[in-house]
Amino acid sequence: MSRLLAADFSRLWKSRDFWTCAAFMASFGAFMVLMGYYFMCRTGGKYSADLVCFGYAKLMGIAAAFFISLFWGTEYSDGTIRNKLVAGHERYKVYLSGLVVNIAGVMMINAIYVAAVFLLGVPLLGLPGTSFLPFAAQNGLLTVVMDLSFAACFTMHSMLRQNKASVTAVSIIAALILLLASGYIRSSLHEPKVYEPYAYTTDKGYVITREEEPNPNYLEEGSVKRRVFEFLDELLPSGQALKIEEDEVTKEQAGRLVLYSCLVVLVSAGGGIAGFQRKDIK
Amino acid sequence: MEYVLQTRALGKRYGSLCALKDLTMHVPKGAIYGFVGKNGAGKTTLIRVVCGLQKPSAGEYTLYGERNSSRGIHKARRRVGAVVETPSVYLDMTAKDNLKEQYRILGLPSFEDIPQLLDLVGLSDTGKKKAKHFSLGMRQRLGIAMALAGDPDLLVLDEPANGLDPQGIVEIRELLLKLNRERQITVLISSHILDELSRLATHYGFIDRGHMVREISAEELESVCRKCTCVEVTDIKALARVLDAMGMEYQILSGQTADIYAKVPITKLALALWEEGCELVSIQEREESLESYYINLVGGGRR
Repeated sequence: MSRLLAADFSRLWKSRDFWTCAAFMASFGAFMVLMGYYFMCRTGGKYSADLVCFGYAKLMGIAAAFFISLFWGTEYSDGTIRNKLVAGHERYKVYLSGLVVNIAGVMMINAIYVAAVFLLGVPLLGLPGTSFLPFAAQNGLLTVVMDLSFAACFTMHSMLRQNKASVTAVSIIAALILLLASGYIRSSLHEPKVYEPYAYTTDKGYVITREEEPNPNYLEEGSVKRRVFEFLDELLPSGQALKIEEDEVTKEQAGRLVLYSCLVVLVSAGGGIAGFQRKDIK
Repeated sequence: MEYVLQTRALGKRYGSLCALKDLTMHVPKGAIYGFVGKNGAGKTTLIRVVCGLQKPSAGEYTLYGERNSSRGIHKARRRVGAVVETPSVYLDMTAKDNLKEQYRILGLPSFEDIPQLLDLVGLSDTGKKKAKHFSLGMRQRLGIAMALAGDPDLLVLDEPANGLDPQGIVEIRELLLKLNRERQITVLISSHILDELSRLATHYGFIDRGHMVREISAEELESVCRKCTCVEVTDIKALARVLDAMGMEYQILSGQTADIYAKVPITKLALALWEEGCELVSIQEREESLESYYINLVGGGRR
């Protein structure tokens, strides 16, 4: 498999799709820092680079979908995947090599965002505080496993379909749907149990008060729906991304997120390899 | 005879469509095996199956003695270079970068041979031009160069003349003949251009509707297709005596007809037959080409 890895990494280094994605994420990182700087100048408040350090998380699904579907779609559109199979490489090795390179590519895109944030952020916003390191270590680890999940899912999709255009479109739409679904799940989980009582005065001077009201959208503690939503929130890589970005992962949750990511990787890689073994390549 | 590739009752189905059916073929070592068939006859499907891109639905094949179901098949495939349908090249890379990529896939330790390989296929002056800016013929040559990387023992080419200009076709033909003669590379080549194939092939396989209709060597084909004069007489024994006396090669077809494989002096033959008491009923020259042989074999009309 070392031969395949050498060939795939060499192609990654020359891939325009990879560098386009990396440039986009670096620009996004720079934009986030500049926004922070603008906020600091305007309000006089304190801001530091670590506040936007994990701002990539929300976009990583879309970036991974774009990069992997185009990078691997080229193998099918140019027909070059045939060269690997005709040369006698076993299919599972071709798949695994692709998965490894895709994971590396997604992580490098991540790292390029972080590098852009610090290269621009430290001079403009100053060094992060001392509490940053443990926070960065945990979120860094969670980012790695989130990248693994995204890469495994989109690699499976790219390997099992041979039409580059449709793979790219479907992957990006799927990433968006995942993000929207996780956003909906999170907002549902954060619904308050009751609407707080409040009072307001009308134009004619009447004071209207509203009593505390139960929220019909609240998911009861221990209900099946809440447990399913909590599970999906932690299982889906898009849910993990939102958690990382909002820095609300407890240590107890972090273990579960790692476990769920490993599960997603194993299921998608296993399913992908099984499907790729049987696939008729044109 | 030693065979590099053999298939036995090979079948391939795509849903309800049967692309290959009970196909048996034998590619001898050192041969240029011309694979002939109509569009949709199953040529590309067979090549895909043999190259490991698709799995057969029935039957089996052996490549350098390794069955397709054995673990050794992957090792045997390392001796194969192939261009299946369109050339498999990265369009965003130069010819040299494409070959480097192929060398890495094959695990070749050095890129030293790349200039010679590019020279061999006539692409040594493409410089930094990317493959997406190549003509179809240039891509075809690059595909062949990629297939030749790693010095394969078997070269599988699917319609290699597609998109080539007449000069390109001649160059590819000469390249294949050179590879076959100088490096003893066995070539399996599918083509529609029967005239072109007839200048190359040492063996033929005729496929129709996924089934091998006939395998024949070029020598056998030549004897079947050779120019001859078909004569009809009233006494076939008298004709045989006359032809023996004249030292001519012939083949008796029936009680009244025979094929003569030589230029026939008609007056002399007619006089000699008259002296034997035999009448010359009719005489006609006949020549069969690969094309007419193929048409007779599979039937001319589209079905």
